[in-house]
Amino acid sequence: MLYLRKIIFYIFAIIYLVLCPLIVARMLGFVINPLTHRLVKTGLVYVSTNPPDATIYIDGRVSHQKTPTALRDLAPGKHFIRIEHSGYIDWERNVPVIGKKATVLANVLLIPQEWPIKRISSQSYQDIFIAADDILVATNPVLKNMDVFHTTKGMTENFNEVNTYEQTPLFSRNSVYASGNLVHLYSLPHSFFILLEGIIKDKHKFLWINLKENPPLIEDISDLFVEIPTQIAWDNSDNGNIFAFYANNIYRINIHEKAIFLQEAINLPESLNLNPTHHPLMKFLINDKNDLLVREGKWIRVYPKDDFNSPQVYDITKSRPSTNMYFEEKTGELFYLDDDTRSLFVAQILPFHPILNIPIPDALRINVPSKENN
Amino acid sequence: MKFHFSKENLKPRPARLQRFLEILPGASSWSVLLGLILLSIFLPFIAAILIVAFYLSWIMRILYSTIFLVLSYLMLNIETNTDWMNRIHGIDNLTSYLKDNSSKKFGRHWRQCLSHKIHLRQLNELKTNLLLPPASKNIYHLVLFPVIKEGRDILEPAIEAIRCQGFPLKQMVIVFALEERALPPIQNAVQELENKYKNVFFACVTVVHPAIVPGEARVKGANATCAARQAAVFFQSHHIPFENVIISCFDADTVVSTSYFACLTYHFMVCPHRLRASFQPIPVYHNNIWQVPGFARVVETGSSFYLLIEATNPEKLVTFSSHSMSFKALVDVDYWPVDMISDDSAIFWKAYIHYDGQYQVIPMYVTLSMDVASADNWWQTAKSVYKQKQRWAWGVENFPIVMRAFLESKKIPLYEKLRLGFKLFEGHLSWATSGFILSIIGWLPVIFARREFASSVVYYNVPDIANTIFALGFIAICITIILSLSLLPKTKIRYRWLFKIGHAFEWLMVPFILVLFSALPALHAQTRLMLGKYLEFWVTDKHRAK
Repeated sequence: MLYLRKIIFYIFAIIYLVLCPLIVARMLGFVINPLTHRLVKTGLVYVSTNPPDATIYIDGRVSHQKTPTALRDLAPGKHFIRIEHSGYIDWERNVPVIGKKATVLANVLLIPQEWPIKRISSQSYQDIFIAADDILVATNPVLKNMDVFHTTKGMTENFNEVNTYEQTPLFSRNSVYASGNLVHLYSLPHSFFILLEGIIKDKHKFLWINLKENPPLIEDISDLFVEIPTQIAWDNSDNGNIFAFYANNIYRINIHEKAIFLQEAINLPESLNLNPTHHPLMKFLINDKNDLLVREGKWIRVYPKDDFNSPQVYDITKSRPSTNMYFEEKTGELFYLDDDTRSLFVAQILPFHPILNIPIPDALRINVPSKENN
Repeated sequence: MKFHFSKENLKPRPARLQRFLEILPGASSWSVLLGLILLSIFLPFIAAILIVAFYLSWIMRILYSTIFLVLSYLMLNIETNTDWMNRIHGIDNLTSYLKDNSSKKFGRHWRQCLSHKIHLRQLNELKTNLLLPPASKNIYHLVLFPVIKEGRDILEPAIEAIRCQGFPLKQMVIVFALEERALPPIQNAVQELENKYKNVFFACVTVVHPAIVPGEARVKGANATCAARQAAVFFQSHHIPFENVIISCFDADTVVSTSYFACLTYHFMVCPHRLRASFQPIPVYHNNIWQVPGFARVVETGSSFYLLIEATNPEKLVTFSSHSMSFKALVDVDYWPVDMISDDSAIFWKAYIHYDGQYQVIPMYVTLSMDVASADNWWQTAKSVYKQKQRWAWGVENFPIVMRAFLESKKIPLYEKLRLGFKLFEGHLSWATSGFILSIIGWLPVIFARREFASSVVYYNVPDIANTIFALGFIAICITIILSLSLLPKTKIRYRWLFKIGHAFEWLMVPFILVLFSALPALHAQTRLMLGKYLEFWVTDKHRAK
């Protein structure tokens, strides 16, 4: 047994001494050229696409692996890469490869031949606002026509299935406020609360609305305003107080105690959002911040990341100018008001839950070797 | 060689050397771990190359070990049905027995043939060396059970297992090495057992070890030494030469297999240098294996497999846990160290140094079963297993003493010093670092990747190579699972196969176990030694279902 052990030990030691440098060389990108039998430097191209599972052709030859994948052992120089996916426009580029380096094509956005779009409400709206999480408020000059949508609840992976988006009227038909008209909506990103200023039965009213409750909980706090404020603000971390700004004073309104306090400007909370009203949301960095989704005039467009000096732009659809759009990152869907009907529409921009097998570090966001290097 | 085998009462220069050597293993382990972390952050290319080289060496080591695990397992199987008593009686009449057996064909089965071949080789070696053993009727076994908190439920099965031996019981002496500080119920239980078994064996006695003895630490070795000294007096009074006595120092929960003492006697008899040898069986942890959490089962099966692998390499084998040795050697080396926790391995090194390297460990392919460390609940069991592993890893305390001895010794060959010194050092270094590198540090170059590294082919190739290596490691895990399942004891529970399938899946916990119950306690032990915070003996909790 002892001799056997020694023999096997030496065999393993020799295998290790031979294998180790070969594997390290392979790891560094060196391979043996079968024609010249010499070690040559190679590079690789890492490709991940959105959606994944796309077929890759490199210099006309199909790769046996689907995206995301690393194409190894590529000779330095330019390689023509084509990415194909059923239902999507082919992606084609000349990609530079440098020895021992990786060219990273991270999250290449594949453009559908036809963008999946569907209408999710027959009601016309004035605008849309996103409150906390997935709560989207669609406004209308008449309060009874305002609705609240949950943009992710009840969603399924298949965009074409009937998704309810959980639509709830903000005011029930029997509500005393239902017949009122909207003057202004104050909201705060990531806040479950909105403050609605309206004219109800010829009276100026301020309604504090908790959207976390279903149906929303409405509290009339009009008596707590001494006059019409010039500005209203509140702090996301403190749901009990809002701040009303007047020409000469600032008042802190305690919602729970129904009390108002004079507030010194110097003591305002630092985290107070002094401008809670949304400006129209018109552009989003999507697909892991790779691509730009933007509205220009009426047109919603996508600008895929351009690394190779061949800028491309793809029109998606038309939407109502000066209204908000909302891109839901969890589902890759864009909510917008249609230009003609002002109805709420949704377009599937990214696939549901994009999948990546290797995390792409921030350092690699724009990572194609420069021409000088090439 | 006369050597002061202790860290206590050293002259200033050896004391400084001792302290330096105490710091060395812990400092090396921390240097490897922190060095790799820093390299991963600042020089990820170098770190990636080192880590891949390590991964490769690890997989080679795993595959190499797996080969010997299988061979060792086969050896264990080969000797399962061996009639050791028949062989012992044969050696008593060696010449005629050898003549009879040389021409005799032993069974058709390959196991019997192989066993017979090994047996014949050992007999021929014995005859050639002319170092014939005493007659089997004159060989005595001294079995020592150090006791401090083990009750009758733990001790009695151990004694019963000895009573079931094929070896004559009247040639066996049982000694309970009882700590004076043991609680009265434990003392009473030992007394009851002594009364019950005193007429079964040649003798069954209790030796009480005083609670406080100057120069002694509160360690098992001190208790065992006290009992062994008393046993020496006993053998002298009965005119039994120490050369004819084999001592087995067992943990209280050790349940030997029925052929253990016959097998031990056989190996003692056929070993030409039997008075300078320890005999190492394969410990398995089956007493309560189905009553402990899955992770504890995997940890202890891993320990058994480690010893199975080591058994194939007697040149580097060191005694571990319950084992046996020549009583003459024990007396010559002045018994176990009385201030060291790792008495099981320390006694080997003490003997090795005393005999200037002329001491060996003979592997025996026979099992003895012990308890898996366990407690009342999952968390306590985890703590108990962790502490037990830390105590095992405290075996690193041998390193400074052995190295001092190697530096002083002029008779031990340099090659042997280097070989054993490297094995001792590398073993502890790898114990404390491998788990961390494999499970955590190996991924750091990719996690901390900055632009330069992240845009290199290495960044993408390292995970690929690592995955291939780990896939190969899975082969070893599969073989380990198969062997583990075949080694498990038969249970009386229903749906046994379900438990076995469950046990197979428990091996998926290996990455966590490697860190939590192997590398971490080892690093903890080395760090304590490095900082001079010496470990105190801690008795492992062992529970069995009634």
